[in-house]
Amino acid sequence: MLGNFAVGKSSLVRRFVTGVFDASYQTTVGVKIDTCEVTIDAASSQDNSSTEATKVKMVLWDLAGEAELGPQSQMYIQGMQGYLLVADGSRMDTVHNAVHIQQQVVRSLGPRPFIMLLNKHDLSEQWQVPDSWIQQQRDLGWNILCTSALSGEAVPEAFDRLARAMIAPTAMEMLG
Amino acid sequence: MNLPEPIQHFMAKQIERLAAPLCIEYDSLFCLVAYDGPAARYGLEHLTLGEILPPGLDFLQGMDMGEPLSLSFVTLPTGAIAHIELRQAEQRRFILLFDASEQHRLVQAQQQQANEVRLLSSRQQRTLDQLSRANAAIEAQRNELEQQRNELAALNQAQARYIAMMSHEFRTPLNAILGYTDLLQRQDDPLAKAAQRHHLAAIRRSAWHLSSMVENVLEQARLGRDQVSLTQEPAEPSELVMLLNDLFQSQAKERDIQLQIECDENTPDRVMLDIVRIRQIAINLIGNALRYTSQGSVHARFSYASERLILVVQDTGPGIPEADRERIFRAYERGESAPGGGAGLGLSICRQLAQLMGGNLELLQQTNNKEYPGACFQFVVPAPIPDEQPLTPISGRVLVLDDDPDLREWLDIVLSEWGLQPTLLSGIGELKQWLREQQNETQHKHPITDLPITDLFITDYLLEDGVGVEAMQMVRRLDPDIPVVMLTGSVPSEESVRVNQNPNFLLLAKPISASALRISLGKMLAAQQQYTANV
Repeated sequence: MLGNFAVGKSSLVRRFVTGVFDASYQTTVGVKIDTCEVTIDAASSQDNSSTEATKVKMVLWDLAGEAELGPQSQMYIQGMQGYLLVADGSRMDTVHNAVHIQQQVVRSLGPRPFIMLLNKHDLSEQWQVPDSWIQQQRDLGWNILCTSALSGEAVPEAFDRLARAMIAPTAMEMLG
Repeated sequence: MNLPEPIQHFMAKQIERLAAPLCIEYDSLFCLVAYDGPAARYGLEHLTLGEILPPGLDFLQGMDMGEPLSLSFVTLPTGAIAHIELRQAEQRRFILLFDASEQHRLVQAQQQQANEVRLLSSRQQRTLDQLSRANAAIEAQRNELEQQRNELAALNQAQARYIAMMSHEFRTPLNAILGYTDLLQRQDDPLAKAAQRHHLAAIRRSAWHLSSMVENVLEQARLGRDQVSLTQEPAEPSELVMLLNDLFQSQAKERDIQLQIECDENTPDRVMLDIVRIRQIAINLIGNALRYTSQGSVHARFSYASERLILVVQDTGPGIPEADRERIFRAYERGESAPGGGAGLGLSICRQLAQLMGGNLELLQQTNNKEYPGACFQFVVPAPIPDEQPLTPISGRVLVLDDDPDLREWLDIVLSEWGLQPTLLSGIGELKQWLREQQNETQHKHPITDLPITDLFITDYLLEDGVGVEAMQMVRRLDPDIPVVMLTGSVPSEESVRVNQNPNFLLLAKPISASALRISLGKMLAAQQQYTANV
C-alpha cells in the first residue's frame, strides 16, 4: 500500500481484511504486515486451462505514508510483486504524490502491476479529481478505481484486480 | 576494549531486557535450523525446528537474502512490533528481531501529532483558498452590479433628457398647429384665402411630425413589451414617395436644401409591405437627414432587388463620428454632434422594426469628403410582389361610428368616392337612436323583402361615450351577420386580437391607409354578398 499520509491505506486494508471502518486517524509508523486471501473464479481467471477457482494469498505491506518514497520505504518495497497506489480524491496534492511514487517504483524495481485507488469517494462535495484527469491517466493505461473505505465502495474489487494483475499481469497493468 | 566478565554479563542482561533479541537461523528453503531468544514476545511461541517459517514470519519468504536488510518498526501479524535484520554470515542465514514496541509508541505519538498538524494546515489552506475564491466571486459580482448600476444610471439620465426633449418636441408642432388653425379661422383676414394653402401645409407638416413622434414613442413601448404585430398588405411605393415629397419638400425649400426623393424605374407598382412601419422608417430617416444637414442636399432613393425594397438616404451633413456609429442605434441615445430636435428614439426603433420585418437598417461607409462627409443609411426590407386580382367595384350601405369629426368626414369622402353609401354617427347615443329607428322601420317591412340594416359597420375602438365593442354588440343584436371594421389608435388588447381571428371582423390600426381600407372593405363586402346569396 503506497501513497501519502492520511489517504486511507490502513483503512482500506482494515476494511478488506476485517470488514471494519474506524473513522479515527491512526498514523502508521514503519510498516504493518497483514495477510489475506483472494479467490479468483475459473471463469474470469486468465489461465484458461484451469477449471477451478484460484486462491491467491497476499501478504499486505501497509507502509507509513509519505509524499515520496524515502530510504526506509525503498527497503520495504524490496520483493514487492504488486501494489495499490492510494491517493485521497479530496486532496489533489496526494494524487500528484501518487504519480511521483509510481515513477519512483519504476525507477527502483522496474514495472510492477499496480491499481490506483482514488479513495474517500464518499466525500463527493470535496472531490477534487477532475474526470478529465482520470480519463487522461486511463488513456495512458492506468487501472484506476474510485474507492471508499468508509462505505466499502470498490474495496474488494481493488484487491481482486490487483491479485489478478499479479498472477497474470496484462501489458496495461505492467505499464510504467 | 577488554571488559571484565561481570560488566559483560550486566550489559548482555540489559540488552536482553530492553531489546529482547531473538535470533533465528534458517536454511535456503526457509526451514528453521535453530533459534535463541524470547520467541513468545513476538507471538512466535510455536517455533518448531525443521519446519518452514511460521505465519508470523512468512512475509519474509521470497525476499532476496543475498544482501543484509534492515526493516524498522515492523508490525507483525501477531501484533508484535520489531526491528528486523536479515543477515548472512559463514554461509548461514539469520533473522534477528529486536523489540521496538516502546520506541514505536513514542515515534507514533510524535508522528501522529506532526501529521495531524499537516492535515490541519492543509485543510486550513483549502479553506483559505475557498475563501479567496469566494471573495473573488463576490468582487466580480460587485463589479458586475456596479456596471449594471452605471448602465442603469446612464439609461435613467438618457430617459430624463428624453422626456425633457419630448416636451419641447411635442409643444413646438402643437404651437404651429394651433397658431395656424387660429389664422385659418379668421374669416375677415383679407390675406386668408391666399395664405390658406401655406397655413394648411404648415399644419399638415406639424401634424405629421407630431404623429411620427407619437408613433415612435408608442412603438418603443410596444417593442419593449414584445407587443409589435406586423402586417403585410399591398402598397404602392410611388404613393409613399409622393407622400414623403409632400411632407418634406417645403421644409427643404425653406432651408435651401436640395431634397430629392425618388423611386427607381425597376421598383414594382405594388409590393407587399407593412406600409405604416415603412412610412415611419422613411419619415425618420429623411427627417433626420434634413435635420442634420445645414447646406447641400438630401437624396432618398427607393429601389428593388431580389424581392426586397431598398431605401438609401444620403445627406451632406456633418456625418456620424466613428465613436457614435453603433451608439446612434440605441434607444434614447443621440450622436454627440446632434443638433436640437429629435428624441433619440428614431434610429433605434427603425432598426428594431427593420429586423423584426426580416430586413435591416445600417449606416454605410461615409464618403471621403472631409468638409461634408455626410451620412448614408440603407434600409432593406423583404417586399414580395402581391398575388392579387384587380379591385372590383363595390357598393352597399356603410354605417360609420366615430367621435372624431375629421375622421368621420374623411371616411364620408372616401367611402362615397368608392361608390358606398355611408351613414355617419358620432357616438353610442346616436347609434341607439338610429337602431331604434331601424327597428321601427323593419317591423313594417315584409320578412321576405327584409334587408339587413346595413351592409357594413365601421366603428372607432374608443368612443367618447363608450367603446366600439359595445357598439358592435348592439348592432349585431339586430343583425348578427353584419361585418364590422374596428379602427383603433391604441395597442390592441389580447381580447381584440382574439376577435380579430373572426373573418367577419377586422381591426385596423390608425393611421389608416385608404388603399388598405379599400382592399379590406372589398373583401368583406364580397364575402358578405356571397353569404347573403347562399342564405
